[in-house]
Amino acid sequence: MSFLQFIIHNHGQVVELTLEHLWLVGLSTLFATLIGIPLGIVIAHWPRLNRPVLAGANIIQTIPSLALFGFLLPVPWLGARSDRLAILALTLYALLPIIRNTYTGIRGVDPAITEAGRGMGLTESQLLFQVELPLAVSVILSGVRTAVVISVGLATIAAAIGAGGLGEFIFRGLAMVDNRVILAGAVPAALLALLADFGVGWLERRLQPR
Amino acid sequence: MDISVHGIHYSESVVLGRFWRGNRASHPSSGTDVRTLFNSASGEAKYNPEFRCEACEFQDQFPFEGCGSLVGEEIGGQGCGFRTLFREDFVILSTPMQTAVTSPVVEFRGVSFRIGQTQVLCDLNLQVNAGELLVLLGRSGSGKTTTLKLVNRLASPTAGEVWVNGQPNSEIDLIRLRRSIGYVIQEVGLFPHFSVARNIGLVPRIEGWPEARVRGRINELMQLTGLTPDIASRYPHQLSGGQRQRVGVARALAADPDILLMDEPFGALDPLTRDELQREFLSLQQRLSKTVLFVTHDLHEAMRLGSRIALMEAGKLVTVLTPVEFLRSSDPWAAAYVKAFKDRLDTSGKEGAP
Repeated sequence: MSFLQFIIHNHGQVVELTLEHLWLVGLSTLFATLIGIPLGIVIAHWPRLNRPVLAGANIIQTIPSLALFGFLLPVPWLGARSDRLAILALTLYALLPIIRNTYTGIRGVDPAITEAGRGMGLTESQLLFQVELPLAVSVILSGVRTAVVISVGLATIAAAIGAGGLGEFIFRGLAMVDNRVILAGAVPAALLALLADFGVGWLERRLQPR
Repeated sequence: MDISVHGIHYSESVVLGRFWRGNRASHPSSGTDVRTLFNSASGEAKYNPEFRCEACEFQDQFPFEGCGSLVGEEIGGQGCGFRTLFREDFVILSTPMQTAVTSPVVEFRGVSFRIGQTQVLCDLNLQVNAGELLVLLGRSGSGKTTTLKLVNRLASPTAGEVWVNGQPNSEIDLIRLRRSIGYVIQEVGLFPHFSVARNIGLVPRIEGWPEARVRGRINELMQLTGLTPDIASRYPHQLSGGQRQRVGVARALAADPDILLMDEPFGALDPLTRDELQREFLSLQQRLSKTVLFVTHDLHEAMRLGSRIALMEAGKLVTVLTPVEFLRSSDPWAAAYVKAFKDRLDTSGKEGAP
């Protein structure tokens, strides 16, 4: 029985695990975006906060994912359900590229343009929403893109703590020493990563100012 | 002494200060140019349409300016008494002098500005009167741009006060202050992600004007600054340098401010386009009578546009003079500028003796 036959035979489970995977990645990216973009904006405007925030996000990135999942297990409310825990961990990992790109994108706006805006009497929030964010949008979205792709890969490891997702196949295949099962998890995960990359890339082009 | 040319009367102050070629729009045929010669003894003026300045770099394109070999020479035959208006190398024709005594619209009172240990501006005292075009002339790093930024509080003085419309600008609400002052910088100041129309309509929109009025204003300004309606939907990177600069001026004028700050607005343009824009800006200024603070390092531009020139060097105001006074000034810095400018026109050094 080939890998394709395995997938067709177990298509119900493949779809279910893919949806679980999407749920983990989607929700964690959403949270990371909601936290990361404002944080990036804050550190772009108050450079003093730049080092501690980026250092924090960097440190999180260096913790091995399996260890982070393990660390978070004993936390009361989170540890009760492994998907919550996985979403938190994935959110933390996705923060760095989003914060850093938001920061870079906003700092990259030509200071002559922001100064002209200030000189004409734009308030700081008008400047942010009408000038800085639109001009930084493609850099910010490429951060989101990186975050999504990393998350799709990392989410497979969440299966180790029972959070579900395509990692289930991979771990099961490893235990059974069966390549077909491993591939049944790995190939859809890779496809998801490509799809997400393409999707955010499309969004990036749509939102890019001319 | 007063003189009269082609039915247009010039008062002494204008003659002494600068020769006015009138409002070209309303007197197309009566421009006064180098071809008009002025007899200093009799006060009589004479017009010679055939005259061309041989040495002038602009000779045919810009008959309104002359330079070079005319230096104070008698023209039209020996002993006729007609001379070029000025003894210097060139004749500047420009807006009429503001002779009325007016209260300062912008006033620097003992203003200093330092960043860390660097003294950028030192005890600046300067008044800008209503309706005048004051040029801040100086080389890079002389503090001209900082002086501009102190007016709309993009920078705050470390000592002294800047008064705008009769009150210290630090007491005016920052956003109100800035929206009441037009600001034009080199072409980079346009928002690259806004169309031309949106760039121009920016301040009226954030001021909450009704949409129909904003549109009307955009059309009006595009016409005023010589922009054709078809570029309204274009983006800054799709425009030529001259068009971008026109959009910059239109944007600054959008909410009809009384004061304009212009930081080398024509600096990045080629000489022909720059000349065209200077010319149009002058006629615009004649109609609108804004109070303008204009930064440049180009003496030619300063002479042409300014009603007064404030010369700055190393953070200090050296002197404030009218263009004509500037040419005759014995001040070493002013003289150095005039000399550098003359040297630029003088090609004899290259060609060698005949």
